[in-house]
Amino acid sequence: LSELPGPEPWRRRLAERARFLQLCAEEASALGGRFGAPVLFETTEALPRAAGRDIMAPLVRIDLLIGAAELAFCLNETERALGLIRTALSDIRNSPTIMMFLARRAYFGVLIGEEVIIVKDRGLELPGFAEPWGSFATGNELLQSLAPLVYAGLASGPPEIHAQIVMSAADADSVAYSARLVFMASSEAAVVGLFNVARPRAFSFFDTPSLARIYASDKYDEAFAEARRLGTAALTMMEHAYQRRIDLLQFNGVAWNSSAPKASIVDWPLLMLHLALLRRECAGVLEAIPPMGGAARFIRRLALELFQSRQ
Amino acid sequence: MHIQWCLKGIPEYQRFSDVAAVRLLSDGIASSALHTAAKSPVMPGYGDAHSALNGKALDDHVNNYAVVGHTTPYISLSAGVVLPSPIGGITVLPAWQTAAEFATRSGTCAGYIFRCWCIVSPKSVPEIAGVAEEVRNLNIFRQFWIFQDEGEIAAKLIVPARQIECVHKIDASLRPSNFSGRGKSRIDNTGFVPPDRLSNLLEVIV
Repeated sequence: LSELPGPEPWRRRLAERARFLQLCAEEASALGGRFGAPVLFETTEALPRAAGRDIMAPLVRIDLLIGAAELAFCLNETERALGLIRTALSDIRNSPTIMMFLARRAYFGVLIGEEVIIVKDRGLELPGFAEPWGSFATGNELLQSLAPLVYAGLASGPPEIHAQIVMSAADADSVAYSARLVFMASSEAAVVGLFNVARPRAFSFFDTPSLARIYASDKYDEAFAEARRLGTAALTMMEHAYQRRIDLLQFNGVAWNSSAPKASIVDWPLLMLHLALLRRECAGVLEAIPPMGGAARFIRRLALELFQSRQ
Repeated sequence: MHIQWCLKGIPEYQRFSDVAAVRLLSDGIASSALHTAAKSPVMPGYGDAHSALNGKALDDHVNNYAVVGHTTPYISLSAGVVLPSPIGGITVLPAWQTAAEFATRSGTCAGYIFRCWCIVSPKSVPEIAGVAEEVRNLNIFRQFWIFQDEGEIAAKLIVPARQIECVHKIDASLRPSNFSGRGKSRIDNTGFVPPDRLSNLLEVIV
């Protein structure tokens, strides 16, 4: 069962909250219209609809649907959660092609197996969409989203194609170059080593793969082993951080009972990483990482359930 | 100071029905402290309620409401909040979501949502009535992280009737619900004074 264990009465509150978020999503457009800016500001020609309102209204509904889906996942209502995400995806596909919608489409589309993405140094490719990063994202936006996007790329297909931004920066524009630079230096990037992605020592991910192949072809076994070791450490740390966050919420009764049902209690990037390990047949590494508690076990079981649902 | 539009959700129950909700458009939304201290007329309770305004009371109001709910001198309003999204970008938590949650007890009963404005201080002054506290702002109120997603603005003692624009009634499904005998789901306050009367945007002299 992929259910996140927690103290009473959290399960009942989670169920109530999930139902309420779904109600909010269904009525989001009407409620936003009723309680937003006064009618005067929406209809006066000189003051057209408040800037950003056209973007924010669908974003609110999409996040409500995803919030309800998140809680449904925690309650082992996987089918209902998948239905909610499908509805959210349908809304996202009708939204403007800006980073905040594209990142959600890429992530949740891959999560439920409806989309395949390619994360290149040149840009992002989704079904019906292929644009350079600089045309729809700032460096900061890309940096914030790059880890979950790379993990979604890894869950989409082989790293050298679907997470190609990790391999090379040859075609990166200034937006992608700087975001990639920060990402590659982070522990979030170390987990790509679990997918048999590595460079021999003295070569970096800024060198072309062929260069390393020519000058250090005999060093790859050592490089893969080192990358797996670092990747295992990074994944252990991510799971540990997630388990600690949930433990803290459960230890702090006020926080758990009031805030937890509303906050992010599914670690989405970690979930995608586990799903990618399963889809790329690299999950054997988990044998070396015993789950640290109920939350870690939950995220692994949920990934397995999502993986099996698409087989 | 700035002026902030806010929403206030109150559930319908036996002692708070359509008549009582509409009456708030002329009485204003009073804090529990004012209700408790006043007994009957408002002014006798004002002194006691006013002296209850302090930093600890505000902390209890936000972080320990279950204990002080019947005596707090503060009034929870929501103006919404924007938080970082775990997959990048932002998550918008609209004021109507919090107001509807309180008004309908998470979608289980009918309730009322009041739209009002208040003057908000850019610094913490929990003792001073007349200006509201922007407790959703963690730059100012770092101890209020637990409930930040409610987007709370804490008004003090009373939200004057002149600052309440209207009241909406919604049912447990969050859909508009008509006030009994009125055939509409929104009642406007005829005594409402728009906040632009108070703002520092001045018209030319003609």
